[in-house]
Amino acid sequence: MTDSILPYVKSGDGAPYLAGSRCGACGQVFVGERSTCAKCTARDKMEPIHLATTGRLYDFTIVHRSFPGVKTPFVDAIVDLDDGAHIKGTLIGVDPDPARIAFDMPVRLEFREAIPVGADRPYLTYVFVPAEGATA
Amino acid sequence: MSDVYVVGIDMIRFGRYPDRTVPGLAAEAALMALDDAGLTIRDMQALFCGNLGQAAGMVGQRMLAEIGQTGIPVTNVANACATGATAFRDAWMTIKAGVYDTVLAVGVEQMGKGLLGAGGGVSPEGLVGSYTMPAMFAHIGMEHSRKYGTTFAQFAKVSVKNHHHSTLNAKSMYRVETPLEEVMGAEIISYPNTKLMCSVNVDGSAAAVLMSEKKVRQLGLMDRAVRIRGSEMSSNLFAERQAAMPDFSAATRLAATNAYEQAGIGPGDVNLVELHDCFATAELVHYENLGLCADGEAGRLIDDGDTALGGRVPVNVSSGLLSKGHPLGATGIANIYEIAPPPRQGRRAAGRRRAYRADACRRRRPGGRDRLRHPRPGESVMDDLSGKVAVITGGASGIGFALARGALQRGAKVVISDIRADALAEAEAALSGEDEVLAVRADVARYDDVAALADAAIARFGTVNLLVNNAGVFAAGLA
Repeated sequence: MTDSILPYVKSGDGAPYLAGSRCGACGQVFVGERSTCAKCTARDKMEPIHLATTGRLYDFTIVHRSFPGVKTPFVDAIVDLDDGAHIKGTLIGVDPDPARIAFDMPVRLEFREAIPVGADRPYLTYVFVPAEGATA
Repeated sequence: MSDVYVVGIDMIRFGRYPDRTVPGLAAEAALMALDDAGLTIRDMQALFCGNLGQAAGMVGQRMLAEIGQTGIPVTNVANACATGATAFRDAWMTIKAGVYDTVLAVGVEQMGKGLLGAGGGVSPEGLVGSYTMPAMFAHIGMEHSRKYGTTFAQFAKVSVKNHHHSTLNAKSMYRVETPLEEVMGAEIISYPNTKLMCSVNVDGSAAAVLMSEKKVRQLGLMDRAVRIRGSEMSSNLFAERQAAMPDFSAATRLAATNAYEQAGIGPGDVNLVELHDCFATAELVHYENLGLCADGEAGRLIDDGDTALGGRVPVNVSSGLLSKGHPLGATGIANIYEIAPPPRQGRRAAGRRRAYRADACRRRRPGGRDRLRHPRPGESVMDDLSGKVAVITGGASGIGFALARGALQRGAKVVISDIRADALAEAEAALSGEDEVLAVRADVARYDDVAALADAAIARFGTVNLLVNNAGVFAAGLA
């Protein structure tokens, strides 16, 4: 089985998903598994969930200089998922040009395997792509 | 609780010192600060030493091995970019608590080159966005653009300003002007921050001697002591997106609000700011976090030159992390050095820079000799101005300057103001730069300027006894 790039990326036996948690006390949705709520401090109220795979672009930067070996430029995106989670990811399928990227554009999450810098084999990871019919 | 004072503070010129050791750099600044205070390591009761890169390396103890092992307690502090500021604050707290009277705080860092961020091993960098510091601080700028339409050029102007300030600071790593086109045309690191909008990785150290009020009085150091009006620290309040993009604003706002409250002032009372401009985007956002302007107005603030030297509230006159450099552990104390140099160092500072230096932070005691003396028959009340404080507007030249000189010769403390900054700096230098002269740039046609002039005079000398309203407003061509 392929390892995942980050703990919240789950292979799900061929149906990969992002693991999240929803607080039963205040409703806050978090990326990843956890047992205590950072917002309302409730303990043992967390329900594990599969995070949404669609959302909107909240914020972005275009990275031209990264750590050695990392291919640039790429778009670092902050996405508000439709279930209320907020997550970082790389946005592909757009020109890395601030004039061509619109705040709030709809995006979709896709899983794929890729070789990270510093590794010699592929890992399970994810990217964001413009959603169908999106006008950027 | 005792008031706490800075009685000695200094920093080395930031730069690249690959052949030096971390404890060695720390020792240099520590000795400079001790010299500044006129004290020795034997006078210190405790040491707080800030360093991030060798957080497990007992840098403080190794520093004492270089400058004197007196057996005092050493606490090594590591707190990311707040490392130096935390060492200073911890020293302050022990005096506040009444545990010690005299404490040394040192900050030091030896940096490599390159981007700060994640460590080694298999990294998600690039595959799952970016984890570099430039990318994280690019986001806070882009979020500001999203909310308020702040432009690339407005962010870039922060660097133009701070790099300009660097030409006046001999302790800055870089000392070059960078016009707007050059800043915007430089290599983009993480949009909107170009290379000239990122702070400089340098080696450096800074140190301060903190002292209780009781001890300051006992040693007769009050004339050089700078009182700490407030110190606050905070961590992030819960923020909706902070797991995806660190929220650098919430904690800053919380700490600023609490610090203003502790000091008993508001943002409107502040007329000089050193803030953590690790990236140009950060400085702009912090204008709002510190309450220097309303939310959404930071772009206008930089456009209007309000935060430049000579503006309403100059920010990072030292040149900031952007050109002075950012040796993580030393940065916090170096920022305090710029704000609160004891009088002797203030006099040594470049004249132009000092002319703009607002003195509200110093809060020195009003003169004790200010006692009313009645003139004898035949003697003018103006012949002896000992201990009086005279404010002379338009004091940079002509009649105003002559009056200022005359008042000084008669024993007064003199505050001169003028609309022309350069002439004002020259006049201040010509008036011998003694402790008795304060120069404040002010346009007497602007209410805020006049109010700031009064505040600065009272902050510095405690009172105003004499006002010479000498500045004139002339129609063009008649002057």
